[in-house]
Amino acid sequence: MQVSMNELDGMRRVVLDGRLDTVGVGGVELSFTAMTVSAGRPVVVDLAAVSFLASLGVRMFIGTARSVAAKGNRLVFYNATPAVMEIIDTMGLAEIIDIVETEAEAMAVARA
Amino acid sequence: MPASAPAPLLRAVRFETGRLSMRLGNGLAAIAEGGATLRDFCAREGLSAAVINRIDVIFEEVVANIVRHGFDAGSAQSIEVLALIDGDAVVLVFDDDGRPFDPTVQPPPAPFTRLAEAQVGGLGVALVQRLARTVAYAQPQPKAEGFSPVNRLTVTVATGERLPPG
Repeated sequence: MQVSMNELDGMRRVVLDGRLDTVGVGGVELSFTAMTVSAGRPVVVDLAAVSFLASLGVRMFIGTARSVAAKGNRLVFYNATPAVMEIIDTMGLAEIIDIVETEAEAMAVARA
Repeated sequence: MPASAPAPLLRAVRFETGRLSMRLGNGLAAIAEGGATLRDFCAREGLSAAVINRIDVIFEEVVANIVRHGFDAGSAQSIEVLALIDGDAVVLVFDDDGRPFDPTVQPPPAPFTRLAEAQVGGLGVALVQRLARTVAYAQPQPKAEGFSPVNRLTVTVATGERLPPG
């Protein structure tokens, strides 16, 4: 599991790559939290390369979105694969965090 | 005295048409090894990518919960996993000798309504129950010798239409 970031048009773009299972979340959670919560600007998170999502990953998404919101910014996820989207839908996660299809949509929502 | 090699985390794997059995040791690496074996079995049985993902998630949640909360760190405790194709379902049976735990009586998390109020504990059990057709818990009868499981969790997952096995 890997996480990387770059700056993109006034916001931070974070890319997750791999399986968000127990081991994967354990390896990436600190870095992901640091990259998103400390951004000090809107954050978009690309999920295209995330092949698997389980409950610890859901917990990480909720905790991070909550921390970013507490700092007055928005965190928007996009590009989820069908496998990941099924878990997001099953858990009702889309009711409380921003998840859209494309990067352009994510940037528009994050900027709003 | 030289240290003995650690026991492999994935052992006693039996692959047959329509049936997989394996025993997992006490460690999170067992999830990765066992999960890969289970996904391979499901693909050979012609299950769709969506169904394989559901089974993969259920396996991850159940085994991780046992290893993290049911076992003592570093113990020789283990989990026996059976996957069986049964008509239009896959039956997953998890036997373990950890602490007694019945996930079917755990209260479900409250529905998500606001980010600030979202419950982050107990999501794994809820996820298993929502992805599965049925989830049942039992305490198996002790065996006279050998592996004596304390918990048995039986989970069935609907397969939908299957591809030709290959």
